[in-house]
Amino acid sequence: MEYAPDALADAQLLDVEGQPHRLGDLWKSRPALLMFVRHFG
Amino acid sequence: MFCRQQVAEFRPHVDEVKQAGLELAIIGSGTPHFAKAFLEDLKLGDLPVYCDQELKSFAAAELRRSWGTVLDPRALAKGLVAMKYKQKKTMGDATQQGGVLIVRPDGTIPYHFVSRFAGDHAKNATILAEVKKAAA
Repeated sequence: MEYAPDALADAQLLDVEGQPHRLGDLWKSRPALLMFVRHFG
Repeated sequence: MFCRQQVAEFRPHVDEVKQAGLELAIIGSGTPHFAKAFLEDLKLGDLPVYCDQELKSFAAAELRRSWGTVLDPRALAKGLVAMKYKQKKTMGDATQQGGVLIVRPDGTIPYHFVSRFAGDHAKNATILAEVKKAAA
């Protein structure tokens, strides 16, 4: 089974207000669906 | 336009993801300003959109990034279908491709889709089936 690498869990993302979030916090307590899009164009 | 197509076509299924008990994150390579405009332009409401300009999460998710993925002939064919989602100015990294992952609390990844070229999206039916499996 494939595991999420630390680099994925520790990635810092910004929300639309510019606030930082650690990606791995999303799946701390329940599964997370991550949809990566190319850009916002 | 591919990113618009991908998100707009998945938008009607967001409630199914929430009802299954999964967190959702839509991650792009532009700035928060562009992400906000993207949400407003597509009337996406309060979808959880995040920005990764450094592309670290894209790299960690082993998603593809090259001009070859943009210039792939299959991308041109997909572009004809996606033309109704009019391309705006590219607001992020044009060579970065997307993908879809499901991650469980134990860190396992039961579903990992990597776009091979621009416009190569996971089928929504497949994503939703995997969501249901992850929720079980």
